[in-house]
Amino acid sequence: MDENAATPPATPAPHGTPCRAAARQDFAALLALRLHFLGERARLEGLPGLSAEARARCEQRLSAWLRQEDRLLRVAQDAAGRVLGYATGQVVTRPPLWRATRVGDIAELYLEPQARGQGLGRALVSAMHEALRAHGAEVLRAAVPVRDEAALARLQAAGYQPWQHVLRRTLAGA
Amino acid sequence: MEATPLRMARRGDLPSLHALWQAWLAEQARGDARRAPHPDAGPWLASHVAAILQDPDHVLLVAEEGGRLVVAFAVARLLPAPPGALREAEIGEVFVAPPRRRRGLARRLVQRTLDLLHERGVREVRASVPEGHPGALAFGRSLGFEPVELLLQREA
Repeated sequence: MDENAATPPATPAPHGTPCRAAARQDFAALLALRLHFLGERARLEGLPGLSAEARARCEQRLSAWLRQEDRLLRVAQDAAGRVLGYATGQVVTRPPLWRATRVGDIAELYLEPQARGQGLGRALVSAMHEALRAHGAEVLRAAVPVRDEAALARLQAAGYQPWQHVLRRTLAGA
Repeated sequence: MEATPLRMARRGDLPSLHALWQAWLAEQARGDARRAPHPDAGPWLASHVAAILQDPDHVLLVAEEGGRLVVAFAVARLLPAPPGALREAEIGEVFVAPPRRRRGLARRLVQRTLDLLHERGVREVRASVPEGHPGALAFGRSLGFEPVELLLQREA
């Protein structure tokens, strides 16, 4: 089915093509979104909030990503072109331990709370899958905090199955 | 019965460690078709273990019976950190040869590894447990670890 054939370009449906590759001009929007993402993830992992340097580190990381050929960065936008979410990942060649060595990793996916429940998350996941496959991924992986049941449900609906549990403990200070 | 002594691995352990690591790999594959070994896994593991034995940022402990037979190992890696920052580490494979199980060897190996990491300034440790091994998850919890993240996978 060619969806574009059914939707004349002059009257795009809302969220008709909500995802695209990120570009330089998305920097400010991406920075705000990623800081929200990091804050939310820290909360879900039970960690303290973001440090004072987090913003500076986040800026550096983002500008590097926007220059990196192999870094996949996709944004989701509304009909007015406002960027409401992003996803990022990479295809990494793993050592030859398991049969699949070209692993497409969705490292981060975030949608502003008011943009959730409208299919934008699913669209971002699909856009990432397409990009990761185009870069040669044999398997796809994504990590979710154990307390993020919404993200877990979304990924399971997209065909993902549990692969590995990540555990953490602290060691008493000296 | 005397507890099997633990010690840091040394270069001469390479053949025993390689055999144990391959047994670990075969065991992983038995429970989960997604973990079928790569055709090059054997030679890759040999070079991987040799590299770990020479890397100061890895802690590799073995349990040795009678001063000659290595029957278990645990490996951890200190993550790179800027000077002055709190150090983090991750525990990798922990494996006990099947006939030597249920004697607390894995627990002693992990506890000693945590002590060594603590001495080296590590204050946070992560560990990964493959899906489908509830016993391994319970073992982690009993050592003070809490699940924080779930990694999911699908075919591309």
